[in-house]
Amino acid sequence: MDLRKLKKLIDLVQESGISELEVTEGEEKVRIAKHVAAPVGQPMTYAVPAAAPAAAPAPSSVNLDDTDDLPEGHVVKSPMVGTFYRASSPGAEPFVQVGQTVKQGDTLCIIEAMKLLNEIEADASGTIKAILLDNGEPVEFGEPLFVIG
Amino acid sequence: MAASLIDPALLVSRLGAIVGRVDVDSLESCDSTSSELSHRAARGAPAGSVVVADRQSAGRGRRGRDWVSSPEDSLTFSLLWRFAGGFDKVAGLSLAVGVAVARACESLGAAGVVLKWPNDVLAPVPDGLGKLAGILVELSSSRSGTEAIIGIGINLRAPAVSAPGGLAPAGLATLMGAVPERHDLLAALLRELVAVLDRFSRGGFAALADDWQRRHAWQDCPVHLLEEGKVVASGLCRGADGDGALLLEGPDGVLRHLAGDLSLRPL
Repeated sequence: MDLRKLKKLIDLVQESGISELEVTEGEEKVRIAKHVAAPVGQPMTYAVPAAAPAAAPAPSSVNLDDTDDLPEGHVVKSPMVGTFYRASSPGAEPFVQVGQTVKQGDTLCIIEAMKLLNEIEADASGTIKAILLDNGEPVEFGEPLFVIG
Repeated sequence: MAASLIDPALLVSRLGAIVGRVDVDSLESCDSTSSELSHRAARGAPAGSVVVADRQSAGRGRRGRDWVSSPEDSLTFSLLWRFAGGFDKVAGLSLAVGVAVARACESLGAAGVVLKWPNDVLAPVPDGLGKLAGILVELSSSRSGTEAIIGIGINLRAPAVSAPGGLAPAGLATLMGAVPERHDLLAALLRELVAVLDRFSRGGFAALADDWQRRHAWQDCPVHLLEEGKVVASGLCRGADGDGALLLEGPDGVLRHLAGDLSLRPL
């Protein structure tokens, strides 16, 4: 596994809510663990393992090859865990389609978590090259959503 | 044009300590108070801006579910608020708003108002609990912070028809013995919203978790969690954690959930 890929994995763990990531590639295996000091003075009242979709993603869901296969361009990533929606309501026109031109600040999708509807805006201007999720799919923190070229 | 049902001048005298923190505009009709406020926010409307309307031609519930309001029987309005930080700083906001609505109802003498995860406000009806109020929070985030459009619809009288497949409707009139005066109700809601949102800004949902938990409708009840109509988890409902995530106790222990709709599981 080359250094570039390792660095990417480390960044991925650092940016995400997951504490450990193990990736096997052929005979090579790498495990990256994030050590977080427990906050002092806040005793845990119960142990709560995170559940899907808040769960630590299985290594398979962090598919580096997919990221490598993305078309050239700016990748818009999810700022949160939630459910991905392409339109404001079922049956409504999607906010964007592949090939459409967008300006920075245009709404691309909605991600819902705990009934908070979060409008995700384009953080770059250009043409939508790829839409990486289907309507209604769960989305993880940092997961690529769109490619703008 | 006929006068709208809310007179801002009458309202101001009832706002008490929050005069100056909210700016209420009353419309006879609009497409949706949240859409109207969103346009105003884009043009620079300050935090605390409120749009209240007698009639909404396109009132919105979550994911396109319609919110139908008849002017005299309900109160529908939206409040603009801004928070420092990104989306992670507003986790649990929809639950916090539920606490504010419940507290406002209680301050007017309505007893028995309870909360269902994440954002339903329920009240007793003859055959259990009915839906008293709906909350829809829409967020957008930028470098300067996160902007929330908080839409609230509350039944003064329960409508005769309930939403298909949903909870029966409940109304404040039954809980209070009389239909509340609209200005009193809106003023109480805005007072509690400002107080709750101030606490939320300082301490997040964790600062309000006890208030929510105390009113939790289905504490320790067996429930199903559904997504798109399919059961994705079942267990005993243990309430919400400090981020507002649902705690569901199943065979694998207590798990956190961020998505889905809860329904009571028949015993």
